[in-house]
Amino acid sequence: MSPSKPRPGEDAQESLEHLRLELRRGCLALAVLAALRSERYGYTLRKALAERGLEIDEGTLYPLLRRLEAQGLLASEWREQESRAKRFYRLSPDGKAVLQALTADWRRLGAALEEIL
Amino acid sequence: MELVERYLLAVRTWLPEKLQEDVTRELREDLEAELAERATAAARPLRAEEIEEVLRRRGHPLEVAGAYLPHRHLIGPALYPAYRLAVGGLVLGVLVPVWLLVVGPLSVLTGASPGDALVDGLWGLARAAVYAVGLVTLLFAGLERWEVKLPLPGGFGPSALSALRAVGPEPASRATSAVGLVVTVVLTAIFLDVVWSGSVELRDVQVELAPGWLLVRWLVLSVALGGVAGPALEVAFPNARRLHHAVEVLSLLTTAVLAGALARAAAAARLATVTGPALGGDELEWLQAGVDRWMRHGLVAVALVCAALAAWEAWRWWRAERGARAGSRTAPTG
Repeated sequence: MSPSKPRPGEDAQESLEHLRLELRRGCLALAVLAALRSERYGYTLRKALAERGLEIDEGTLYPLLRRLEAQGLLASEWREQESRAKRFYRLSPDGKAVLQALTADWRRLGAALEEIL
Repeated sequence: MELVERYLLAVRTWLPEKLQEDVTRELREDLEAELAERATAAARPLRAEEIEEVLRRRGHPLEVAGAYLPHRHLIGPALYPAYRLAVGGLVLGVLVPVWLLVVGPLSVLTGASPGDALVDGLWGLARAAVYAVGLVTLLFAGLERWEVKLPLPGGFGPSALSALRAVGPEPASRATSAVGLVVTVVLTAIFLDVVWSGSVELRDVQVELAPGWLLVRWLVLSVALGGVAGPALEVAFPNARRLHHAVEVLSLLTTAVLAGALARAAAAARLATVTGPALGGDELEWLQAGVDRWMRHGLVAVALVCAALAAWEAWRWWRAERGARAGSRTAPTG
């Protein structure tokens, strides 16, 4: 039995979701790097981003932190706080330089998009 | 908290060993922080169903673990077009034509029962296709795993790209021509091997070609080389469309004439003799009749198909010439 063909509206909704994901993907790395100018552990980082209107689930955040650390843009260490071991993340010197360059790119891109939109 | 530990254990199961400790430790810390915050907000310990809801929202353990793994492809987008071409070329360009033109007819003619032989042959073709696709897939998966780059000669030069066809929007692809060339060479080699050795052996049956074949084998070789020349020219000189059309038409016409002459000879005398010590007289007679029929009717069919293809190729040539003339009249001069 062949699968039922999606209606045009469903296709558009699916495309919208896909494009939203694509749009967010690149922004998240920049937001995370910027939020880690000051040292934070995962849960507070997530809360800080959510408070600024950027919800990010843990299944996306922690693998992203790990990738950025593997690329040498973040440094982390486990420390005790409030009797619980927590992993604190901060920008590395390379991360600072990358954040600066990405911020400039973002502003240029944002200005160009504003003109277009 | 037993539910949390069970969840973490399930995530851990799907992780590689070197990540297990670190990832579950961090996930536990995050989960405990969220649950503690919710309990503080509710001013009471969380109920089991509330903890379950938090875990459900975080996703299936397999999904959670998968997010930590590198995004790998068995065959990535850089190699996939070449993989598709290799699989398609091998199965549709080599296996199926060889089966249709050589293995299939010989199996039917030399098998005890044509129906069984056909089923056996189809099953053999399916197995060969699975093995071929499996081998090509393994080869490309290996290239992907060891990050081997395809050797693209001398970088990318736009002027070296294949020319557009004179008529129609489809560009002439050098890769497609290369597959065509390989297929033609393989089929020609098989055919020439049969003519040169003078016999074909299949199971307990041997088909001996009549000595007359030896007299025409150089003619057969010339025609076969003409058949290879068309695709070879297309690969080597994709822009020489006129020469390519001319060689194709000439080659197809010569093949049609040769096949027609052989068909006439087959009507007058036996062109192949079937032998098989293990077979009975009736079976041999039946097989011989089949081979004789194939020689007479098959060669006529080959002659007709080649003549039709020559006409089709000549028409394409004429259409291309007309398109090129029309294009040159309308081309901008600035």
